Amino acid sequence: MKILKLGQMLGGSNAPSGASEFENLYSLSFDGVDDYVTCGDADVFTPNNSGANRGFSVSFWIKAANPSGKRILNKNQCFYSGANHYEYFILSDFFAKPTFFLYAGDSTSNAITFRLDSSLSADTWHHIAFTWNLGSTNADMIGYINGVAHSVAIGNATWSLLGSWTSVSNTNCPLEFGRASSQYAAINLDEVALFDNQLSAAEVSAIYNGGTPTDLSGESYLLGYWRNGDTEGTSVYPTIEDYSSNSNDGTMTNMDSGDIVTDVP
Amino acid sequence: MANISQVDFSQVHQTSEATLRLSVDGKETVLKFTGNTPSFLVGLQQYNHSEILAIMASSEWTKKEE
Repeated sequence: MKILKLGQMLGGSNAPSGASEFENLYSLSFDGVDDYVTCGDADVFTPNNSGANRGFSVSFWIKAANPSGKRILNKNQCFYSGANHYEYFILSDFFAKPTFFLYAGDSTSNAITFRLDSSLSADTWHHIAFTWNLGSTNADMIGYINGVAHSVAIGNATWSLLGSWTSVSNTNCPLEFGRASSQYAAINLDEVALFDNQLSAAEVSAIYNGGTPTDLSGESYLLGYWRNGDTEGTSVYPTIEDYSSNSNDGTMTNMDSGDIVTDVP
Repeated sequence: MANISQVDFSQVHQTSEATLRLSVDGKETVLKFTGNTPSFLVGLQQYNHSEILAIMASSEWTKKEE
């Protein structure tokens, strides 16, 4: 048995001052040991579960002391019925480049990998967005770091397709933050949102808002919106409320109320 | 895992036995606590955050990418 004595690993304070209707005062600090948030499984987490063919987008803010190789968001590789199952996950790769993996037909033989060719900086908040129109060509996904577009066409992203593409299958895998498989991320994560459409550049720019998170609860096609501690701070532990109409709340797992910290973008 | 039944989950940060992170071989786990050492953990090896992160990054705890 291995034991970690806590006390020196909780995040610092960088809370904004001033009061307004919308405030972002808290984020979640994941320790990289065994912390994660599970939102369970919901049909709406699977791209295009609506069948509306509007696309799929993911938005979040992230900070890490070492942003290399961090598992950020995961709905993938869960084991049931005698097999692993696959939908999608987001990580920062070895070079700290945000990367989105998607699988078609619940198979690792059919996969899209989309990597933004910019590395995240250490100890710095970044806003990341991936926007996808559900297509399977290298023009069908655009990523954004702090509102700056990354795509194959621009020349600052790479795309690969393994096998053939159909669509992402709706598996029973839970949506989780801070881990993927046996890998756990030491990160701060805030304002995570999923959308049932491909966000436009203008929409992503509005979400980035010059580096200050803004209220997404009224956005169209919002599938999930987890504010990671807001609006009530440590008292919400262990529940991470989903502020979308779907109300798929997350649960802080292997964490404590001290992991809701005032280090925010 | 022979002594997992001794863990009082009200005294550690882990949520439950079901959420424990296990080593790749399934024989070890990791526990976290704040303040005084719970009696059921007295005498066991303790690590600080950076030490345990290094251990967790080893092949004994983290599977290679598929």
